[in-house]
Amino acid sequence: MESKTIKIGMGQLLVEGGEPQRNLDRAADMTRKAAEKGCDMLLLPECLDLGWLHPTALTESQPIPGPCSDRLCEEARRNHIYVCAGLTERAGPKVYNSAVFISSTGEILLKYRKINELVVAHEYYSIGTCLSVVETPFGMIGVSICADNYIDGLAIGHVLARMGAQLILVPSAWTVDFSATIEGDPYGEKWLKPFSILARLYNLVIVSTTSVGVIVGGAYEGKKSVGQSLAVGKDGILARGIYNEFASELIVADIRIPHRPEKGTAIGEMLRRQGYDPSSPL
Amino acid sequence: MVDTARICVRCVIDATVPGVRFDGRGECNFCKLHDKLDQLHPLTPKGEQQFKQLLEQVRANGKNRPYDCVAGISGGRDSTYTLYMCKQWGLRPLAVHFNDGFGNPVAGENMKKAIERLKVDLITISSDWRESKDLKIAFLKASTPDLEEGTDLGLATALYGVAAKKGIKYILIGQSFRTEGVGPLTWNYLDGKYLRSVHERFGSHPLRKWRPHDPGFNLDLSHVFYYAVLLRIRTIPVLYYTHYVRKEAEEIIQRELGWVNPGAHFFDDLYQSLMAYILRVKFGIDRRKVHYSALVRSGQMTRERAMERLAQIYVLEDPKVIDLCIKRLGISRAEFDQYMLYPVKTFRDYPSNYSLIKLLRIPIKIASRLHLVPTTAYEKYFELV
Repeated sequence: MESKTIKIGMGQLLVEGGEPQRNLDRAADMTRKAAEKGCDMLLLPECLDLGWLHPTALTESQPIPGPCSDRLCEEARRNHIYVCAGLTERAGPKVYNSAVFISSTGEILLKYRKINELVVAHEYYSIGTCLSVVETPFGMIGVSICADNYIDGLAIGHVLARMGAQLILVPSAWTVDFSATIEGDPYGEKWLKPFSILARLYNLVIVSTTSVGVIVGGAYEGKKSVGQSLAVGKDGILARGIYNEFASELIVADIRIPHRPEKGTAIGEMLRRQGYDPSSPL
Repeated sequence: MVDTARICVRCVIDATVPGVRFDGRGECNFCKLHDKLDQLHPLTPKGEQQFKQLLEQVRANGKNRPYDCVAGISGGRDSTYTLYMCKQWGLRPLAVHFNDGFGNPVAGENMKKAIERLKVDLITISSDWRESKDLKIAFLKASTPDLEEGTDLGLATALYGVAAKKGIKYILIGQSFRTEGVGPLTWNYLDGKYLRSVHERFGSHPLRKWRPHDPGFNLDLSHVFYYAVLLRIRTIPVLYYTHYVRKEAEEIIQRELGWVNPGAHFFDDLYQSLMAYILRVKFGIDRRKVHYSALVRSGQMTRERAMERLAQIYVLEDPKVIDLCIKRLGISRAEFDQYMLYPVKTFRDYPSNYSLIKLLRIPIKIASRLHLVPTTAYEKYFELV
């Protein structure tokens, strides 16, 4: 079976905490730009409506489907592009840090609620209870969110890989201390290492887009997001966003979707051939 | 009794502007200051020659270094044009942006485009949001017009800090007395001790300590002495030396850099929207009187047009952005409305270095002329009071 190459837009969006309308307007603009550049798919950041950890999560979050996801679906349909984005989801008394994967006809194909949520965020977001993948013309797509890919939370990525994900999309809100500048390395191995482990072990591609902007509310005040979104395949980095903390940026990458013939226990055999030790799951 | 209806016959400064004095012909002292600065920075062949020599000094100082100068940038018209001109003058600027969490995204896009197209390196110095937010609320409570004291001071220290770290001796800024004028002291009094005293009284989050390369919100006289005298870092308002016409500058940066007007002067900073509202409603201050007067004096706006505009509420006061600012500070509208009712004060109601500054009149005049402190510092502190 031949591998497919798709054009992915990594929409490194400026997210202003507590300003859903402004953020969604920017997301709509980014969707249009990605379509103009010929992207098949656009990946947007985590909680792009209200900002990750912003206190308005408790008062202004919306259901999915709901006004925010409807807007994204409409933009996906209008621009004939697949869109994956993080949204703050209201579900009855609970709020979730969620992500949606939307088809180019504006249909929500997959909704995921973040599992490996940081302790500081537990006062806002409940923990998700499901993982899933979805088959698309580009291959099998899985979705996780930001810290789901912490090195000690990588079981989530393993499960998506076991479900057959050829491409894992990761809306993120990576943060660094306010004092970070372009002269330093903001993340070190923090994201590259777990992404590389998954990509190498399973021959898949993992793409993560982070927001940019100062955190202006909640427990992470004093931190900011500075971009440098990342796409990693089995042979290393496929694309990387620019360092920026005040303006959105669209990074366009041609990504070859790897063929993954192994299924079920055949994956375990493949891993063993690579020297993977299941008793040391990292 | 002051005749508050009195207005300068040449510009639109009126008797409500603190420190204003009118001569026998009805012309104000702000106009006289303009003429004085115009003589100090003449747009004549001699003035051009002086500027060329200054640029040569900047270039010579940067020889064998990666950068000649630091250029402050906000994404607004003046700073973007200044960065553009730096490249036209053959300088190698290091652009520095101060991000206090209220940047206008339109201005952010402008900066991104300018940096890419001019192929200039950019360092963004972010404030700790907890500090900058705390300072903004502290000054709301202090009830003085210096609502952007933290931002103004943080910008100055960001430029100094980067220049000190990189060993750069020149900071170029995009101010022009011909388009902005010089405001009265009580409308905008910049002093590190004043900031500290207001913060000590009304703040709740500690401010980090001064470090040479990371000054934070610390700019006391000793720190100014360190940067300006010991390190000999000079701050040059380069547009003082050029025939800076706003409309022409705007056309150039739109064409060359894809610059987009954020909507109003100062609107590179969203907080200016709230500030304009507070200044007008609570303090009866309209800073456009100073800015439009400058444009009138330099022939870039008619006096009639300035008067017409002053009769309207400034577009900067966008209700949606005002709400955004209040929300971003994490306070309720009711709290904000309460602050609006606090009695009006000025910097004189709080401890500051003002008494000491008054004793240093002569050294400050010399330092102003040598660009060791802002060029108009002397006039602002001693003539517009």
